[in-house]
Amino acid sequence: MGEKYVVFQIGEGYYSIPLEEVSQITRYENVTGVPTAPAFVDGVINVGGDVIPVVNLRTRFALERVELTRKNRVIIVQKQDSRYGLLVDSVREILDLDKDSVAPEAASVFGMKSEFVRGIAKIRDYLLVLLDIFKVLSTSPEIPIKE
Amino acid sequence: MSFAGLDDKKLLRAFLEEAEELLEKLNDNLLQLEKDAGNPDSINEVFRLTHSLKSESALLGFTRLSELAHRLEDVFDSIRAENLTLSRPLMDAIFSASDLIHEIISRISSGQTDTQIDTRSVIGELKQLAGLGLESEPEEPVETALAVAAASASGELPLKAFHRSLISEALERGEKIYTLTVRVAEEAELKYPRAYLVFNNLEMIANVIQTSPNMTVPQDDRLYERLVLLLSSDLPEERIVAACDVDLIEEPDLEVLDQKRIDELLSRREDGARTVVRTSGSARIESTSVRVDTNKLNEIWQLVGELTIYKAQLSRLHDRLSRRGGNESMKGEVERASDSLERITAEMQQAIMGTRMVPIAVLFNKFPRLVRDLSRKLGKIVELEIQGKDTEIDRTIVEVLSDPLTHIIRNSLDHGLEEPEQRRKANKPEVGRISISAQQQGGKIVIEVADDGRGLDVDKIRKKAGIGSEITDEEAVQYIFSPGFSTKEDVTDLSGRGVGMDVVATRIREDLKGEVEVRSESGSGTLIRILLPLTLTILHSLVISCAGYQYAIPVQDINETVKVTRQNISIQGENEFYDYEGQKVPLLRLDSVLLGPTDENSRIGQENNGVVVEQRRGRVCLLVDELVEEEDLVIKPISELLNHRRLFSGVSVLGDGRIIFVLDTARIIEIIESGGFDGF
Repeated sequence: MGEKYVVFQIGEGYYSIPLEEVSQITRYENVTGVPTAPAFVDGVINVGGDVIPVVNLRTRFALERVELTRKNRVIIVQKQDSRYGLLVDSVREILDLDKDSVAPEAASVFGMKSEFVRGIAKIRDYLLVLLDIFKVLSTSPEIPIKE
Repeated sequence: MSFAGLDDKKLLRAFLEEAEELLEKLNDNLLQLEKDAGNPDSINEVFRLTHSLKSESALLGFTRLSELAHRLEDVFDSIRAENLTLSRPLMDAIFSASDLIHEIISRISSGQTDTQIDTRSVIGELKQLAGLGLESEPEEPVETALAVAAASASGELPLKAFHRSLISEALERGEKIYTLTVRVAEEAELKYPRAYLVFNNLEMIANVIQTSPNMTVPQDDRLYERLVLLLSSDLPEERIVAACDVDLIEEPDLEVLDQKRIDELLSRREDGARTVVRTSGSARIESTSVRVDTNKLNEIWQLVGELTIYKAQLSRLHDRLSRRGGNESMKGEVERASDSLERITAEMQQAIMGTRMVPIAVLFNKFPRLVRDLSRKLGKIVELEIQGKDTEIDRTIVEVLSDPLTHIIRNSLDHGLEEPEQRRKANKPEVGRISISAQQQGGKIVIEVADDGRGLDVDKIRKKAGIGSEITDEEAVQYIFSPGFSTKEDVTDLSGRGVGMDVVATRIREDLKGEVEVRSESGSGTLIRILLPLTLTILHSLVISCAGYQYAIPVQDINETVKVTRQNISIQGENEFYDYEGQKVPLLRLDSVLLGPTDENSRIGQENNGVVVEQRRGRVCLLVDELVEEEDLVIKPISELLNHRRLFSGVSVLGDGRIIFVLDTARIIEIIESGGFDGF
């Protein structure tokens, strides 16, 4: 038995985080702007009374902004007491991933820096980057995620 | 020991809770006595506390603890009777006894018994110093007491003038006087605890005047087969009998005394029986507390938060209804419903906050003792000042905060304050000062520990941290908080402070989501400031708008809202000031604070809205676009990601779902005072 992963798309790349880290997935609605937030934070949303920042992963990955579509989703991830929303282009699927199918050597795929990558897996017709999302979130906004 | 049919753990827990409180009060009063040895209130209080501790520990079978408490009680009984004065060595012995009690209690709370602890030397010392001799109080011979207990109900209750006055007072209040006799079933393994439960139940609902056998000083367990109580009450007899409904208690026999019997009692001559008199309410066990899982309280708190939102929605609905006209009686009803909901919500908030919030005194109260002991050990003379004991903090953070705060105070004493000799040389008063304070400031709790010692050694810190002159002294000293700072080699010889402060900082930042900072001046002292977010607070706030966003300012931070015109401002260099009550208050455009200066926000219109806010460090007038409304806001912590410059103290959700950020005015003022905004 493998672990379950949420697979999402940003630009041309497919990324995933363990389902365990995800508390829910919502649409990009009622986002309140925050004037003092860094550029990659679109704003905040109210999820069950909690105010959660929404991180635009496109911006964080230094991709250009595109217009929102019906496919955009916000993945809410949680670590201890802190929750964050991740704006992604679309959520593709939830996947059972066997440890054996993951290559731990984080080769530079889609130009991601290796410290943010937990591994790479070859899934049917695409290549999947297993992200260390909390590392991405806790890294200073000045440091690029990609090389 | 075992209480068949009773929950041992519950009893033990109740005992420990009670004991903790007793110990704290004991400590306070002892410290009071050290300053003012003859203080009758403290002497009486210590007597009462040791008495309670003695009885309660005996009830649970902690005989050593009970004996120790008993000896202290004896000492204070003698002091009370003015047969003994509190000398310095006696005070020290009393403190060691109180320490031993602490130790025993902490052992008991970790599941051990009190039998491994040797109390003999401390007791011996107490006895010797108090001149109580080695003979301990002769125990009442069992036979006599048995005979007393077996005799008819009211006749043999040992009554003193005091008890008779209790009877008279009860009659004046219109209460009836009863005797109540109960038997403890033979199969009950231990009789005293059973009898005690009845006694305790009765104390909760009636006034127990006297008992036979004595309930407060446990004696031979066999004596408690039969318990006679004299009590007064205005409750129906069934209620009193119902209080005797304890497992293995038989035949409660309640008898109301007629005038003749009462007269008999009142005229009886002073009783010679040698009994420790239990004064009314003196050792009353009023354990009405229950333990509640904090998660459950959190759930309730969440619900109250939602309730606040709906309350706001309803009042908004009411406003709309009023504007539209229409059915008058319906409007009235909505108004009443809205008012009631508002009142109930407010009360509920208060009630729930009450369950979670405790005065910071529970934490601060242990510091006088710590400072006393440590200063004696280090040969320093210290005066401790505590302010803001009433500041309420969340019960859950008390425990987490305790260690770091203790460490900070320890450091102040150990490394901060100089020895008397050195202080004299430096032309400082011999007595060093440490002051601890707490206060609520906007959305935060601010705790400060200040000393007037030698201050931090900035050069050593620079060297240790490997920082150069590009960093100001003020910034350099903050390095004592960087992770790993004090684990670096030979840091222990760092004069001034810094030892273990990185650990303190980590705990405050990670466990409490707070901040810690230090200010230090060489030769004149150090101040450590801890800022903690309010976890459970509703702040009445003013919602304002600025450059298309809305923010909240806690009303308690606001001096006044004003109209700013070209006539009432003045300009000095790059900076503008608002003339407020004859003073020049810095004028600050909120949008430039938050977003940085732009051309557009540099213009003053005909008339602008200003909010004058005030904190300890000063005042400032914030220029905003509009004053929107006042709201009760439930404050939630704000993600670090959104608050790099720490300009907000929290975030809140309004009635209509809007998200609003709460401005940290103290922080804004601080930045201005230190010249942080260019040409504000």
